[in-house]
Parts: sequence; structure tokens; C-alpha cells
Amino acid sequence: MKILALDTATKRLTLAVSDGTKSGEFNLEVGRKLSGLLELIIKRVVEAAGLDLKSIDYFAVGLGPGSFTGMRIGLACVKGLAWALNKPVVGVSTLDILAQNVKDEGKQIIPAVDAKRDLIYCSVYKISNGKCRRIRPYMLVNLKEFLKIAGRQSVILGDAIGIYKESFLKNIEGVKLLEKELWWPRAHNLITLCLDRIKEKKISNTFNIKPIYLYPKECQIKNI
Amino acid sequence: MRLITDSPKETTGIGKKIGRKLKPGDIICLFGDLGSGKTVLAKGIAVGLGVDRKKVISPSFVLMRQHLSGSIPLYHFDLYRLKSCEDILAIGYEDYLFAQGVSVIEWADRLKYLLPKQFLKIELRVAGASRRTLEFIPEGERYKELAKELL
Repeated sequence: MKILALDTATKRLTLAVSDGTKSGEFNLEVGRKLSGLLELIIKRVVEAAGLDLKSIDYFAVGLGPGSFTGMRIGLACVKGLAWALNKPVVGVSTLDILAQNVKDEGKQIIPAVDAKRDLIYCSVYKISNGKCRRIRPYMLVNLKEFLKIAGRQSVILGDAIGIYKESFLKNIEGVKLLEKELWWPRAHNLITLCLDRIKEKKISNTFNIKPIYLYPKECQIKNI
Repeated sequence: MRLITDSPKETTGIGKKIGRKLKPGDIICLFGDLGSGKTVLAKGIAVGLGVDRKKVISPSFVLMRQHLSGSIPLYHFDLYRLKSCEDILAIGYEDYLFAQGVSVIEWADRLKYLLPKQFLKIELRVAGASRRTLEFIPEGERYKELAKELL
């Protein structure tokens, strides 16, 4: 089964292709140039793997939460490809992908992504019997709320560490903060999750896939 | 600090002065009714940054225009058509702020909760057929300095 997977919801673009036996991954901090570069990078990576875009069976994409512009660029690109080639899409939350970077059994795993304006995108996961499960909703919280969510000995990863490191160390007993290399989602993990979703028949298409938009609670009251 | 201008040209002139002093990451929020001179002032700021005057037109319809021809990138927002802060977040507003460019935001009253912590607020008011008052209200150290330089 051939899969093209990408996530553009964080500062670092991650993209991978797999033909079922071998896979290749590409990671790059692209910033504002993402929209212009994404197509080129897809083409290069697919070609380097000796594949043809037309032969891809599934397109997997990270759905955020994260940068609104970033996740929409990735999603729009995947939607376009899947529509043109008439192929299914598998969407996975960026936080789910991020949680895959951790292997610690039994501990609270908390991916924490900087959402700017002193807010954090996060959720909580636990691995039992080798399977990583999400045990809280996707949330957008401030530091105080985050500290309430994070229990003792939590394992935290993500670029929120770059901002709140001191506070996490001071306020969360026995916390383990992962190193910077593990702060970003990796597309090879998205491929693994995509295969799970295919088995569970959780498959979408160009028209029904949606990013995960989280709004701060102060924003949820509509002004007329 | 308040300035009075007697023509669009004078308003543009003040904008130019502001534009020359701006640094990457600076945020200027413009408040004022229709016809109070927000776009005229924004045009001046753009010219001060080295952008061609003719290229700067109101972004009411497209929400944001990006000008990359000046000394620093300029992100010129117009939030008139956006009524809720969810809409403002949805256009990716925050991805531009605090970045390598200068942000000039018309109809910044729409931001409410999304107003940044530090910025230069300029309130424009109609005081006659071609007379406008410009009130400068700096929020934060950087903008107090900037306002001082402009005096």
C-alpha cells in the first residue's frame, strides 16, 4: 500500500512516502515559504522514492490543532491531490502524531504546542499494552490550566517547552521534558497511524475532511 | 499626544515619518470611522518604508495586503468586514504578527480580545472637511519610545 503523509501544522514541515516496504521522510523548518515550497517538496520526495503520485493509494494529513495558515496549506494541498487522483484521505490530529514520539509505558504523555498569546495546544495520552491512547480532548489552555492538567511524572514534548520550561520544571513533580529533536511531529509516525485508521475504516475524502480549529474561550462569543 | 492635520497630504506626511522609524515586529493599530484617514495614514507609513505609493490601496475586500518591496515587509490589514474574533483568527492574522514584518491594522477595534499586549494605537477623528486629529496612545515601552521619537 502506498501512502503519502504530511503535517504542516507546526513550524516544521514533515512529509513521508511509503510503498509498504520502504519509506522516506523529509523534515524542514520552512516558515512563510511553505505554500510555495510544498508542491515542489512533494514532487521531489515522491520521485526520490521512485514512486509516481498517481500510484499513491492514500493521502494522510495532520489536522492540527496548530497554525491556522499552516494546517490549511497542508490540508488544501492534500485535498487537491486526493480530488484530482480520486483517492481517499486519512486525517490524524497533529497532537496524536506528536504523542507517537514517546515510548514510555504507563505515563501521562502530553504533547504541548505553542499557540502564541500565552496559550498552549495540548492533549493527554497513555500507552498501555503497547498502544497509545488519547485520554483527554484536544485543548487550548493557558499555563495555569495546563499545570492543572499535567499530573506528576508527566512526559511533555513540543515547542511549548521552549517557552514554559522553567515553569514546567518548577510546578510539575517528576516531570520529564523531552529534548528539542522530539518537539515536532514526524510523518513516518503519521503513516503508522494512517495504517491503523485504514484498519479501523476511519477514512475520509476531499469533501468531508476538516482541520481541528480550537478557539480561545474569550473568542467563542459571537459579536454581532 | 495629539496631532492635527489639514489635508490628506499632511496625514500621509505623518505616516511617512512613522514608517521610517519602524522595526520588524512593530504593530500599529488604527482606530477611526469611515473617512477618518486610516488608509491615507497607512499609505504614508508604507511610503516611509519604501513601498511605492500607488501600490498601497485599501485591503477592505481582501482583508490583508502584503508589501515586500520596502525596507521591511509590510502587512496591511483591514478588519472592517470581520465581525468576530474567530473570523480574525481564521484568516491567520496571528501568523503575521511578531514576525519579520511591520503590521498596520485598520479597524483594530475589531480585535478586542486579540489586541496584542504592546502596540502603537492611533485614533483618527474627523474634525472638519479636511481636518483630522490623530491621537497617539502607545502601549508598552517600545511604543512609548517610538511615540517620543515622533514628537
